[in-house]
Amino acid sequence: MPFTQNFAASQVISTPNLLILDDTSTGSDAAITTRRVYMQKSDGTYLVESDTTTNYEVWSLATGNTISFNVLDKDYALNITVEWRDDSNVLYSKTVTYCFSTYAKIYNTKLSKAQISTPERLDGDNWLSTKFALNTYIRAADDAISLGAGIAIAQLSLNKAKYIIDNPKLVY
Amino acid sequence: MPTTSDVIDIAKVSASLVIRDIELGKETDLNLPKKLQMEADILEWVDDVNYTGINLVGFTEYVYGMCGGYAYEAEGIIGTGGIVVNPSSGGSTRTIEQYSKFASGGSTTITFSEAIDKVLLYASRGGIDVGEIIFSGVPTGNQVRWDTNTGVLTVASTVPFQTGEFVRILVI
Repeated sequence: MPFTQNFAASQVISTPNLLILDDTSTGSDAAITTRRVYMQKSDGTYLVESDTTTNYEVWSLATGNTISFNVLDKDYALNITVEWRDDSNVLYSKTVTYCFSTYAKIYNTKLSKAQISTPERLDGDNWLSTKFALNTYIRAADDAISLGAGIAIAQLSLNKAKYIIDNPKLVY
Repeated sequence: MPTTSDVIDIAKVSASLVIRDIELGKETDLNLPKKLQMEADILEWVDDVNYTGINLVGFTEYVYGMCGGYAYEAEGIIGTGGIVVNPSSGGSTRTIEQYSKFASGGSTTITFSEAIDKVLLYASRGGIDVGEIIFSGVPTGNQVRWDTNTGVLTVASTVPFQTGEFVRILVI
């Protein structure tokens, strides 16, 4: 069966700092000896783990079909490229754009939790306008990726969401 | 009580119904559509990813309560109950029930054991509408809190019931 390259990336709530990759390729090609992962940010630079000296991460075949990288110190919109390689050449490659917005969603939910215990918060001008803005930025970032607007646009929204997260005085 | 999934849809439909009533001059909370859409989005995410940082049942009741009387009409529209315009096209009929009691002076609670497991749609004290109905937290001002599990209606400690005060509720 011929090799068809594919992968999926995800971020989970319990460990939002981890970017998790699953190799969902089908078929086989005996020439493949390793994989490389490029996680490109909207400014053109690459996310890598702290001890990595290249602009990519190695995903060895021995690691299996799932790997996680500790690179998400905040929410990012990324172009993720996985290369399936022999020792010196790219044999197959696939690039997918992803929006990782879990940090913002967790914060948004924390605001709802605070609101449930103190319902009058919702009628405060700062609370409602800031929370609505946060909600809009999250949705805009997710939509920018799912509808093909690109990581630069998505990252702008994620940065605005991050500003709200970093400045609790905007709501409290 | 509708399921979380139904409440998400009910809140989304309610937002449109509120906008309609704002246009008709019947709704004074101009921010209510914003609040409903925002919380529906967050509840949807919490439900989708099984986020445990917030109590899902409590959050669902909170969002449902935020819909107020619009929930009933919304349920009829999406076919989970409420007003069934055309019974042959689906949905099930749910009946609104009315209960009334005379309160004890000085108390901040009154129990309607007949209304346990029902959702409070409306309440009045001495023939006057109460304010916002909340499902968690401590009521303040003219808010009332409804506990579905116990059938207890709680008013703010600053405005306890008067002896023989007539309390009427509508539940579904």
